[in-house]
Amino acid sequence: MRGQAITRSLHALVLACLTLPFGGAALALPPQRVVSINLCTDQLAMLLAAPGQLISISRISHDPNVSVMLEEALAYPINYGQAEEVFRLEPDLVLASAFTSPHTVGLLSRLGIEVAQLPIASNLDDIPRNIREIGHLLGREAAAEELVGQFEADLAQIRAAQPGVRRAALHYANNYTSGVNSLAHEIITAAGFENVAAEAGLSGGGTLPMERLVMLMPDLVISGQPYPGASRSEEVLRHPAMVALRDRHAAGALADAEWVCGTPAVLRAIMRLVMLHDEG
Amino acid sequence: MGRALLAGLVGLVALLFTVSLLVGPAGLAPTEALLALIHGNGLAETLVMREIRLPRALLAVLVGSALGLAGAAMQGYLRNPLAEPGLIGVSGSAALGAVIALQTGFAAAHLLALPIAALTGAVVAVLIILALAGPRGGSITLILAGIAVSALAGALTALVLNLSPNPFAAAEIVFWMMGSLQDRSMIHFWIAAPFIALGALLLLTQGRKFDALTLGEDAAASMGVHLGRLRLTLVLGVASMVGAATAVAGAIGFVGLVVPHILRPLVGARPSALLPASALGGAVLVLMADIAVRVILPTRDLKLGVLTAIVGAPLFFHLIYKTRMQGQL
Amino acid sequence: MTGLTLKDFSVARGPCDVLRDITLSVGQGECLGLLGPNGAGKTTLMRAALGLMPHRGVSSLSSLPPKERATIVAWLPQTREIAWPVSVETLIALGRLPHLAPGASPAPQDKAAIDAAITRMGLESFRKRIATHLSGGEQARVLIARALAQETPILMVDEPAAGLDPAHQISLMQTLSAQARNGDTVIASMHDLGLAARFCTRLVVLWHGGIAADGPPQQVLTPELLAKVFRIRAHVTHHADGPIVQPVGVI
Repeated sequence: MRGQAITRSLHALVLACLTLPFGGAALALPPQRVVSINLCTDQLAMLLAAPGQLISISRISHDPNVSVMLEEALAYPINYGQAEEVFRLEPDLVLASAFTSPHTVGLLSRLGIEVAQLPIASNLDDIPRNIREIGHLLGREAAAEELVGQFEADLAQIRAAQPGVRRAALHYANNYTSGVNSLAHEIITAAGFENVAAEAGLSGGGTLPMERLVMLMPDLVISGQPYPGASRSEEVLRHPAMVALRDRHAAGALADAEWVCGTPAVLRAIMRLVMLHDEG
Repeated sequence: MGRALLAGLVGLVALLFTVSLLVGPAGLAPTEALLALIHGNGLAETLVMREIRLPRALLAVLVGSALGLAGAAMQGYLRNPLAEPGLIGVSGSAALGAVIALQTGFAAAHLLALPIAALTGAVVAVLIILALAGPRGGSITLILAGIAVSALAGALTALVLNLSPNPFAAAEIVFWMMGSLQDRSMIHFWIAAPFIALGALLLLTQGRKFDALTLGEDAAASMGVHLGRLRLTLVLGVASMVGAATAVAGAIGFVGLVVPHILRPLVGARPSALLPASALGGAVLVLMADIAVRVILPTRDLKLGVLTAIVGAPLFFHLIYKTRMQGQL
Repeated sequence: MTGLTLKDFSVARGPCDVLRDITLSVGQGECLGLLGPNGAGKTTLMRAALGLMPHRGVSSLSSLPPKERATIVAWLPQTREIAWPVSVETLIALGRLPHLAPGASPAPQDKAAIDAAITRMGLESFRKRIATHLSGGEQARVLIARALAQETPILMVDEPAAGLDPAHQISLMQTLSAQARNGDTVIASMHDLGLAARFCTRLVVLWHGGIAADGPPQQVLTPELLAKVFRIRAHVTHHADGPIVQPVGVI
């Protein structure tokens, strides 16, 4: 674990030298050919880019299971995030995530392409920050400010109507769940629920044995969305014990594409939970 | 001797079954746990006991007895103590059948499609093994045939899982090759139970024929054993048990090797007496392994096959060495 | 019915007949020695007659249902196989399997048959020993005891004397001929012409797929036949203990 962390920070250090520092992308002219190779940067770029500025987005944005902006995304050509194909598009800016493969990022940087890596949003306050950063990179600061203003106003409105406390659990494949310090936790708590994984002391993402989840008796189970095809990992979502827990609440909830990225789409996820909260 | 041994094993199964019910991360006190199981006291406790722990303990008994009995029966038929469903690729092929059923959606469409597909995979493997190793099951041909079948089944299982549109599927090769009872439900118990019961019925009634085979095929045939029918019964019985067990728990190796090996001296080496003893012994071993995985690494899904291999592989080495010393290899 | 009857009996291996149109009748009280050079078809004749391999023509044994046949004939194959380390007693008890009803445990008469077989083969002191730990000759005696414990009116044995020391060869042959004198039918394939001549009441010589000679030892074992079939020279003399055949050279 320790070794991995060190390797990771080494990577980060190398990348920091190779890529332009995130805040230092103050170019005289905004980039004209922007390629995004990550689902979350795809969404923010589509929301903010000037017409014709964004020339390619990642393949995954065309996947209806995870893309919250499928309709918009279908208008863009897709890439598979491989350095070679991205290089052929002759981009003057590549948008990637902090989790994008360091090999891809390193290779593109060595080829002289500017790669900006957007940090992961692990709470709601990271969302305006990320919007502003993408806006800054694209030279679209005004559009970014407008989007941030709208997001913050909507969020404030939701938060103003805090109902009584109920308890919810996130339950993904392999009994994976999210505790404090995660976007999903913030979504749950913003909707007026208590996250039982936080009660169990979980920080970030991790697994919680099904037995413990059942013993915590959440009022609402928010299940991960099953992928096509079958997997044993996802069988836990249909386990009779979880079904029994879910059946205690009038409506089930699904953690779907809206939960994945730190974009204004999370507001829709929060709103749906708020409605469930009021029903229940 | 025989009766006492069987009674002892039944007692051990009952004891370990109870322990298995009492072990788990929910932190229930024993009395609380048993009250919840029997009387349904407390919703959370009842769900944990009846929907999570009970199927797990029942499946450990079911899967363990299937693997133990199938091992003893294959060894009795081939007269070779190295014949074990996991080692010779029967479990691996059953896993391949199960994975194909799951990934084609066949398993989702019909409840029994999963065990039937696994059974089919197991039948194919047993037929290949018997065809390659021959009726006497010489050690070299048996092991070589087993390696070939295991390798092919493992590779095809990996291929099917890699082709799956589901991102989780590819990572599950470990489950299919090592086996686990984590988060199984009563549904799994009910789909496996009929096949395992049928296989047990088929194999347990063949005890005397396996006894007669101690003298070789010719002598057994002269004593009225219908070898063709015995072979067919063995194929169906082993495939039915190993197929159903693998479909719900993945491939757990070495159970059918370790259990008959330990019990053989205790039953005077009689193949017929070894059958019921190995069924119970298999249940004991898998219950112990499944308790151990929860005690050793409670938060991780440590695979059962890892533990059975740690116990079984040294024994396998010993058996190979002994076979070589006797000049049979 | 007892004894063995073969009529127009042929066995093919691939396209060739190994045995052709054999007609043979062996009755009660006979101890028949089946002779012939290697590959003459002695084992094939016995296995096919038992119904353990396909054949044409009639065999009084192969036409029986296997379960019934197992109570009429006991078969001791040449390969002495003991697959598991069972006790001598357990191994001999296997001879009683054809007599047990499904699920039934051994009755007093089964135990008596086992004890009798153990006594006949002089194995009392080996009773509790592990069969696979015994010497080859001892294992051979245990396996014969298994066949005796089957208590069938016909006993068919393939090379029973091979690998036994002289004393045990002789006592085995005495056991077999005593079995025949009691009214059973014994059919034994043999290579030792001397033992065959001394202890069998009748000899059948297989050669080139047919029967080259059939009759009492002194009629069958003539220098001419030994030269023609076995390609050996032998002294054949008659002694108070019976005929004595001593091969002395190869032709």
